Amino acid sequence: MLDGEVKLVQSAVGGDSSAFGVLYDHYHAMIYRFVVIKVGRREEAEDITHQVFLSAWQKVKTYKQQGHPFSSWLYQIARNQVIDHYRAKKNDISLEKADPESFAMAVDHDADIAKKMQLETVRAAVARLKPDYQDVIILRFVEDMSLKETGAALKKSEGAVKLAQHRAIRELKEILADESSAEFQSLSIFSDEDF
Amino acid sequence: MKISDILKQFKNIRPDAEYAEKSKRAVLATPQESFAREKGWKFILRGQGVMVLLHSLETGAALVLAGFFILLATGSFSGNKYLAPVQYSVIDPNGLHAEAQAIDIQIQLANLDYSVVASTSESTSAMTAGNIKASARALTIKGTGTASNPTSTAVGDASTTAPVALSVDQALQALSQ
Repeated sequence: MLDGEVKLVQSAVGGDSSAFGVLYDHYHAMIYRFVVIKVGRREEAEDITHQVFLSAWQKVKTYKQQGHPFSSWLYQIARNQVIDHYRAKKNDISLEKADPESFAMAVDHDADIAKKMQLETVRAAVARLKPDYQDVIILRFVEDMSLKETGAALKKSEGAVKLAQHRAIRELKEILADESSAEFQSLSIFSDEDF
Repeated sequence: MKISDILKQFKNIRPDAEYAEKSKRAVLATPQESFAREKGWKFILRGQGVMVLLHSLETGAALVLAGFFILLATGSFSGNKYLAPVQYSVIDPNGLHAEAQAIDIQIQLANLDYSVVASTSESTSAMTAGNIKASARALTIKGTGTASNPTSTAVGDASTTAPVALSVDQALQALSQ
């Protein structure tokens, strides 16, 4: 949580654009990561992320402090935007159309081809999970959020997050085990220590 | 390599700085949705679902009113049916007719005991030359059979006939004839 976030949010709710700008700077990369892992394409992730913050700015007056970080609200908007994105492009989106190079470049510019493939394969496997499981994996293992923070962002109890995490890991392992590429054989996908 | 390590590498993902700056400027340049312009209950009930419901109600009410006025204009609508305090539907015309037929209207003629004598004597005493027609009419009731020419016989009869007391039945019979 950002220092002085409550005051910044109050100022933003009052229409202070500079306060919202500070919140934007702090959370923009986080929301962008969340989106790009889900959609796989940088351009689409940029558009969706822009829409998330645009929507947040336009509706910030309806925001109510409930003791959760401001990011929880942003994640909820982002989830809805991604759902709308897939709904609008239902017949146009497929994993094959994702651009592995584009995604891997965003992660590590200097990585070799094998590593880029590995990154994209794991991302694609995450993207094949149910949306709820994707959210849990991203928030817990990419953003290192606690169970409580994850629960607040996903509107779930800590117990529900734990259960979802357990199932998400199991499904992710199954997806990766189905893959036959050499890169996956080098991953210790069957070890519980992974998570 | 562990999957968790790969996932942690995703944290290195950063948006393009130029894009981020442009996006920020565009977002902050966009005016916020103003709720101050909304009035009354619209301001209070600004939930999306409620607003959709209210718009639907407004549209529905407008259609109902339009239909009502069209009916009024074409004259095929009668407000009495709905506005009258007594509902006509509870009144059965046939039943009312039958009930009226069943009422036993009996005029107690037996109690009608007036004396023709009195009236005759009055008419006799009040008889004058100019009052002959009225006397003749009374004699006609008596049934003298000269009703077709009352004037010619009235004078003679009036001078000779004594006052006669008629019963009610006789009077009615004479009237019926």
